[in-house]
Amino acid sequence: MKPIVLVLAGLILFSVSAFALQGDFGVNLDSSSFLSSGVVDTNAESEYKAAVWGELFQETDQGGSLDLIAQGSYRYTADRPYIVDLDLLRFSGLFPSAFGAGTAVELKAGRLNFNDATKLILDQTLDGVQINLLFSGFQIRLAGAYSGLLLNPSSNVRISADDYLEANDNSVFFGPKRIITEAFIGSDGFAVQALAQFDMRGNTGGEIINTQYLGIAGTPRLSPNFYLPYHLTASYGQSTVGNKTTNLISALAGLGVQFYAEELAASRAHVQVTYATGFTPVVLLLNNISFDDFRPISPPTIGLVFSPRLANLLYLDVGYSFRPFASNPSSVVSNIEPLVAARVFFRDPLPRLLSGAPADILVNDLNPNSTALYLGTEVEAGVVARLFSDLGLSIRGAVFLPSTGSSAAFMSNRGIGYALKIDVSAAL
Amino acid sequence: MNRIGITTVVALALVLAALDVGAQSAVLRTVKGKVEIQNPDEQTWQAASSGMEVPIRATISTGFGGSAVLEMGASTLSVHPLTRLRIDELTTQNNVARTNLYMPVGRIRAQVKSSAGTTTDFTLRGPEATAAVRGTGFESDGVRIQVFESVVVFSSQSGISTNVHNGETGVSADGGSPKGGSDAREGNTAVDFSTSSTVGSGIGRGSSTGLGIGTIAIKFQ
Repeated sequence: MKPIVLVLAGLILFSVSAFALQGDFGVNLDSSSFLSSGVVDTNAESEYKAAVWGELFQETDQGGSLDLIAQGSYRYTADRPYIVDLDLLRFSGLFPSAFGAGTAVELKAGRLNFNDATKLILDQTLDGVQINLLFSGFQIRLAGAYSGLLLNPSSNVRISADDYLEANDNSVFFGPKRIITEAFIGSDGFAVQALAQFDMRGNTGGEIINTQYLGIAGTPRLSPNFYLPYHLTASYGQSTVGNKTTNLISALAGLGVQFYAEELAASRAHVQVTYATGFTPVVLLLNNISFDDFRPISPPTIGLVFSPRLANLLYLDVGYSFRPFASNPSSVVSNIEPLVAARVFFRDPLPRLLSGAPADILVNDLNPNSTALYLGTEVEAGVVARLFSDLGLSIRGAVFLPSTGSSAAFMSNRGIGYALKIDVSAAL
Repeated sequence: MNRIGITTVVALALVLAALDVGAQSAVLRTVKGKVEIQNPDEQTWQAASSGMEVPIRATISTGFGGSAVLEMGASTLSVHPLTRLRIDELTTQNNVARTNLYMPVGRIRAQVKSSAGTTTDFTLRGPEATAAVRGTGFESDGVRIQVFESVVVFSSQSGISTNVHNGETGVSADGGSPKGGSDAREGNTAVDFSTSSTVGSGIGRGSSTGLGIGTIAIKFQ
């Protein structure tokens, strides 16, 4: 028995002697205030958050590393006076030369952010595992996660009607239970990705919906200053209510141009068209398949005032920002970034073209007698500043000008919507 | 007899190879402010001056407001203030001019060119990344690179590389895949107001923003 103990003690001492951990810890204070007037289609509200985080890090051979980070927070909102949450608990290991020189395997496990290449389908903290196989020029990512252990206010996994109903229900403790899987292969210029989510609610009598997504995405370079972001995703789904299962088909597409010019006061501009449709001509050729809204796993926030669901929607997004004092040696003034943006919203035109009926979208004060496609325009202006490394500020205001009138998309009582969002972020 | 013959052939090949290796020289063309040189195997630093030849394995150090322009064959290097740069290799072999530099801290701007009849193999190693180029212009601080001309093969510590083109930026801060393309340009131009989004970036490798109220180092020895 004694020799075994001695060998174990020796092994422990040897392994411990190989470690030289670095650690860091800190406190973050975040405040987000949302003021609105008129009719707005967003769910933003004032929120105050204090978070404590800690990290242990160790470098290994050939540029590898082991990293453990955790963050817990206390959050206050008017609806929920206290939310104590585990925001992040992530182990990540980088293991170089796993498949030869110039390759690495990156393993991440725990509670961490998962997102797809577009960030329009999935962008959410989840509990799971992610493996990245890194090669020069491209990478392969495989991930699996579960959303049912997230607190309901922290979860943005909203797909079925029940998910949306529960979003503001204080009696529901955890967010929707879903298993989410992801596979990705590609580079900056071209990538193929597949995602799927499986509803784990069980037989509740409500809608059980599973969805799968297969798509391409990339941001190839056009010239030294221009890039061409694009993405195209086909989605297939199965919606079961009671004994009836309906197959769903929908699509999401986007195309744009991005401009960067660091020498022109760090100028950045973009024009992007995004289209989410549930009515593809394909369905007309197939039996037993219904068209339906495009349903992302975690719905993105599109606008400040007007933020409809990404379904049956076509919108143009243009924006410009710059840092007027980018070359100033003082980081206080060089990190001030004014920005302007505009978003022009339309209903999905295909249903009206093919059947005469307008596409249905879920927003306030829609005119039921109108088939108009144009919904309105949101104009946004603001300033983002990182005054110090430990203090940041964002002030953004927006106005939504709806298309109203007897034949317009909105009823005439829908007025102009205004919103002002002020975020302050500090680190101690 | 055979063994003697093989040995002779190998020795001849080595001699011929050695004859083909030519040592290039690095010369300080311009020196401004405090610039010092530490010669190999010496502990002391000596003040640098214009026209001074910098030997292989020597380290150049620039102070506050100090800068230097270094000529190495057809290539020119502008060494910015607060930089340490070591010349590890400077040779010409088989018509390839090979330059190997190590920069643990600081920033340089390089204009890498080839002489007539030779190709250039220029490598700059930094604390986080390596830039390998064959005729181009770039500026780097060892973590980030900005390319002004042609293409740079930009590698992280783990050896994973990406091509950074004219006008683009590359960033290697976490040891994994270096960031390039529109992602890196977004980081160059956009201001991130949130201090929470940089949680954990204050330690380990990469940009030490120093976030957090404390730093601890635990060493088991």
